[in-house]
Order: sequence, then structure tokens, then C-alpha cells
Amino acid sequence: MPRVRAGFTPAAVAAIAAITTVALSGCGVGGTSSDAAKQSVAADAPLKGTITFQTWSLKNDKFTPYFTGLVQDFETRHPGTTINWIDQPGDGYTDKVTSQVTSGSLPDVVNLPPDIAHSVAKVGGLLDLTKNVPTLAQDYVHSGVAAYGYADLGADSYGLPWYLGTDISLWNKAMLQRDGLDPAHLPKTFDDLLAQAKVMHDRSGGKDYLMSRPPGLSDIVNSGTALMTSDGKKFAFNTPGAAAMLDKYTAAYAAGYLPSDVLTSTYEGNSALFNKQEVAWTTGGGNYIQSTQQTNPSLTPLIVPSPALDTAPLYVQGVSVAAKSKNLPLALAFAEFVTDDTNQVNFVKLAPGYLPGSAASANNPAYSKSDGTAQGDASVFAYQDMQKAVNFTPPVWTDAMNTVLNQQIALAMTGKESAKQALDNAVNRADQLLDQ
Amino acid sequence: MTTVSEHRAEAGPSAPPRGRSGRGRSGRGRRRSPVFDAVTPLGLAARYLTLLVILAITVGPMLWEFSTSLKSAYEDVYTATPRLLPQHPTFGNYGHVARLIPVGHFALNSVIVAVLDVAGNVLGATAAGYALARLPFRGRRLLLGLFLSTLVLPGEVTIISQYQTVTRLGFGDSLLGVALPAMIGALNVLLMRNAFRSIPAELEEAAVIDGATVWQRLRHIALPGVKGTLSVIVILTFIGAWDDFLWPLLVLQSPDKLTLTVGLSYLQGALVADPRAIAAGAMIALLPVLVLFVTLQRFFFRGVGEGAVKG
Repeated sequence: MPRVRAGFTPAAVAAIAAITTVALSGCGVGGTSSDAAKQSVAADAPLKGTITFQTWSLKNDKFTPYFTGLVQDFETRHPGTTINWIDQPGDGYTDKVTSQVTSGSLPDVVNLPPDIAHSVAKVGGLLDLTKNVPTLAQDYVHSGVAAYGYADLGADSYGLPWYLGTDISLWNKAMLQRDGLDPAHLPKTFDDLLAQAKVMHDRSGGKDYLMSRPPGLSDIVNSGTALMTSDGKKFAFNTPGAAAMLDKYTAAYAAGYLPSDVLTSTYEGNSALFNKQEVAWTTGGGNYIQSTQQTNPSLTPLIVPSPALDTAPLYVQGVSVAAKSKNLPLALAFAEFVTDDTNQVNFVKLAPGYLPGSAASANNPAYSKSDGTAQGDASVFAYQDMQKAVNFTPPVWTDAMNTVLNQQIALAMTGKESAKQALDNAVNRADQLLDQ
Repeated sequence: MTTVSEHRAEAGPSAPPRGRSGRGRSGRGRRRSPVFDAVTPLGLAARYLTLLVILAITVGPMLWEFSTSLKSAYEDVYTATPRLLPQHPTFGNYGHVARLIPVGHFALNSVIVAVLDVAGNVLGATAAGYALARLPFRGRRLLLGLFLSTLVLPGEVTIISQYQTVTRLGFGDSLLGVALPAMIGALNVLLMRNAFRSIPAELEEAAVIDGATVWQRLRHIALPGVKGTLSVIVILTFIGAWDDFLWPLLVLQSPDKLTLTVGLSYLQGALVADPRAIAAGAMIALLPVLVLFVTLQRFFFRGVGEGAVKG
């Protein structure tokens, strides 16, 4: 899985609260911090000096040569400049960025996912890129730019889309065939999935599972329900459509089509169960087959990819510029260099299943041609999914809200509440959390 | 002698029933009353079974990690029935880790931090614990209450303000900055206080009459009695410093100053992650803790019970 969505640990929540506090107390000292975010950087300023460029979890055998080459290339084109590339480990990135923001040591150019970028932009830590990159709308993928624009901060965007990911479906061919299902006719919709899950359950005597995931926000979106009211001030996903979807899950769960522990804390996640060959379907990033080759080589030849059922989610990684950088012209120039078309294309060559965030290449038909391998097919499906993928999680959706939703869904699926009641409760509680 | 033989006669199965007509049973000897704590074969089996279950729960994951670290790239890591013995055992994963990150250098950094923390706690907690236990001074109870109250605050809440304090002191991006906040643990001070209090006061009073100073009393009377608690503190502090991830991640910036736990997390990349290399890294990180525990375990088990019974 790409590290695209950071989990909010208690530490992270406290950390985000801390950023806000520091920003508020900072207002009294100098000009308001949003001035720094809104400033314009002179486009013709000479490029010289030193900046730091921070990536997230990309320092390893595979990507290190790419970044060393990238930095050298830039330094040769602009003599007199030095780029220090640093990389932060995957875990604890929210906390690390928070500490960098509070101590004023946020690197000049920094790779941030949209949720962390939001909390940094909220305290004025990021440069407004809509204002400073005139070609933002033409040069970058629209959905990516939109992911870095936040309703509470105005329409402007705070990140240059870098690499984009989505989910595809992955199936275990051997298990499907064992239970009399045809890998050439994979489910295309949720209802197909339910029908085939029944076949698999009945043929295997309840031993094999096709479905192994409790419903979540994505299922609600796929049921044709808008998550929020059009003004974005209230949640509104307690619709009959969503309730009908939840009822289908409840029936499937009662019939034993899902492992009984999907609602408990011992649930390992659908991809873990897929790797153990206990379930025959999972969703995963476009590079799932490649990463399975590293963990479970004997499973790889059995995997058949297919496009995501219904709407695919969009995961974005972007590059932002620190508003308090001491060398803004150089920082901005380097951020644009990293995300320019050529460099993005070269980056994605190392990350099959992902797509560049630069508009010129994102729609390149070359990505829709498979090399004939399963991983090649998977990359093509990821490319196709990406065309209609949306980042449907509202930026205001918190971990606490997700917990409430999961609890209510569990109550509904075990028959302790009606689906309608569960969704009503979840909406009410989420609205309360939103107002806090 | 007579009593003994009488007892034997009583206990022996062939002994005739004695004069207690009412309670004698069917010609056999009086049934043995159940002895407290007696071990029946069934009970013994149940005990060992329970112990084995607990052993499997605690050691199992570690064994699995160890076997994963020895597995070759052709074997599956996640399977429905975990296979403990690798089919093609290899040490290649350890070499892979060493090639990816400077393990030795990171381990040295971790050792420096751990040694600073251990030294700080041994000296500081001993001094503070002794003062709170034995030296009468104004505000002693208030001080004790303050120590206790710091235990209530969860670390997550204070970590950012702690970070700001350390960077303003000029210790940002230094190993001293990583070690500093843990150099005296409030819990350790309380542990030492209780350990000192469990030494009979009379011993010290006798030493006072003999003219011993505070330092002499601490060195010759009190310290020999708390070795166990001290070794507990050494081990727990060492493990705490060795395993900490978030705090060193926040404080350290330069790649050459990282501690081992932070350094090892580079093995888990965003788009590439080899579970075998991660397991090998975890095994490397485990070694020093095991060595320390084996060295100190003689004292450790004495220390666990030391403060429990009041003298």
C-alpha cells in the first residue's frame, strides 16, 4: 500500500492541536502567518544558494539513485545552487512535520500528502501555489490540484501533484477455479460480487470467502450517496440508497459470506487475508502484484487483476513549498522541476501502477498498453481507474468520525440496529464532531 | 520413634482401622486429607500446558520474526499455516540490511543515548529516591506529590512542548537532546524511594550513632540493599531508550545521527518493503537487549520482589 493516507494516532491529534496553538500565539509576535502564504515570489529572481528537499519514505535501493540524479541534474543546470535531499521514514510523519513546523525548520521543498498539507497550510506554513504557479491548472492533473485545495482556506491550492495512485481489484485465480467460478468473468459491480460470494461460500462449504471487508465511506459513495450537503456544512449520508447497501452487507454477513471476525479487533484487513489465501478478493494499489512478489512469491502467479468495482478512490502525493523558506525563488523553481513532466515520467517508471501528476503525461495512451504480464495488466487497470477516480474523503472527515461510523456499521451488521438507524446515528454524531 | 512408626502405620494402606468406629471406612485406612499445594499428575500437566501456551504467545511472534529473517526470497512470508523452519535458510537478509543502512553506526548512536539515560537514572533516581525516603526536609511530601502527578500526563500531550524546550536549549539534532528528557524518570525515583524505605530504619540509626555521614550511609548501608531495584531500572531504562521511536525521530535531523529504531524504519519504504529485511533488522535490534537481560537477570528477579514486602 502506498503511504498516502496517514493514520491519526493520539500523538498526531495532539500534534495538530499543537501546531494550531503555536500559530495562534505566533500572531502577536510578527505579521500574521497567512501573509507569508500569500506572498508572490519574483519569477525572474536569480537562482542561487542552498535549499533542503524532503521526501517521505523514498530512500532505498530503488529510489535513491533517482533522487541523486535529479539533484545533480538541477545543480548542473543552475550553477551556484545546492539541494540537500533528505528523506523521512514512513512512520510518524505527521509528528515529524508538526515538530518541523513548530520549530520553524520545515524544509524548503517538502513532499506532503493532502491531509498533512492541510494542517500545515492552515497555520500559514505553505506557499499559495495557485498564486505563484500561473500554469498550475494547465500543467497538472485537475483532480490532483483539487486535492490540495481546501474549502476552509479559500479556493487556492497548496501542492503540486506528484504521483497519483488508486485501487484496483485483485483476485486469487486458484481459489476462484476451486469453487467453480470463472476468472474470465470477474464481478464488475457490487451485486455481481454478492452473487459470486454466495457461490464461493456454498461450493466450499463456508471455508472460502470472496468478501472480507466491512463497508465504509467508499461503499456509501458507490451507493450513489453524497457524503455532505452541497454547502459542505453537514453530513448527509443517511440516505435510503446507503441504507439499502448496508442491508445487503448485513444479509451477506448473516449468511456467512464474510469471515465472522471482520467486525472485531482481530480483523487483519482484506489484503492480509488475501496474502494468506483465505479470501479470494482484495483491493490494492496498482503495484500490489509487484509488492506481493516480495512477500509471497508463490501467490503472485495466481493473482488476476481487474478494474475497481464502481468508483475508485484517488490517492495523491504532492510537493509543497514552505512559506517561511529563506530562498523562495530557488525552492519554487526546484518544486516545479521535481514535478515537471519529464521528471514525473521517469519517477513513475520506477513505481509501476502509479501515474504522473503532470497533465501532459497523465493521459498518455502509453500507460494503457500492457506488457502482457499480470503487473502490466494491473498498471493498465490502474490507469483506467484513475480516469474516473475521485478523492471522496472530505478533508473534514476525522479518525474519530470514522470510528463512530465503523461502530454503527458493526451494530447494524450484527442486527442490533436497523441500517437506517445506524446511519442516522453516524450522521448525527459526525455532525457533532464537526461542530467541535 | 514410636510416633513416627505410628504415623506410618496410620498412613499405610494395610493398617487396620483403629478404635474410631464411627469414622472408619470399609476396612481401609483413613483417607489422606488433601494437602495444600499437593501436585497431582493432572495438575502438573495442566500447569505445564498453561506455561506452554503462555510461552507460545510471548515467544511465538519473536520466533516467527526470526524465521522470517532467515527465509529466502522464494518463500512465502504470510501464510495461513505459518512455517517456522525456513526451506532455504539464508543470512542474506542480514547482509541486505547492512548494505541498506549503516547498522553499526546507528547502533552506536543508540548505545550512546541508552548509556546516557541509564547513567542519569542510576545517579539521579538513587539520589532523589534516597532523599525522599530517608532525609527529613521541608516540603518532602509536596515534592513526592509532584513526582507522582507527572506520571498522570500522557507523553503524547507533552511531546511537542518538550521538543520546543529541547530545541530552544540548543540540543536539537543532537544525541544529548534525545537522551535529556528521559535522564531521570519520575517512576524510577519512586521505585528507588520505596526500595530505600524497605531497609529497616534501625540499621541507619545505628550508623548515625556510629557517626556515619549521609554519603557513608548511602554508600555502605542503603545501596547494597537496593541492587535489585537498581538493575530493574537499568534494564527498563535501557529498553525504553533503545526502543523509543517517535522522540528521536522528532529531535534528530542529520542522517548520520539517527538511532537504530529510526534508521531501521527506512527498511519499510513507501513503495518498496521487504518483510524479510525488516525482520532481520528487528533481530539485530533485539540482540543488545537480550545480552543486557541475560547479564543482569540474576539481580533482576531479586529486584522485582524487593519493594513488595515492607520490612
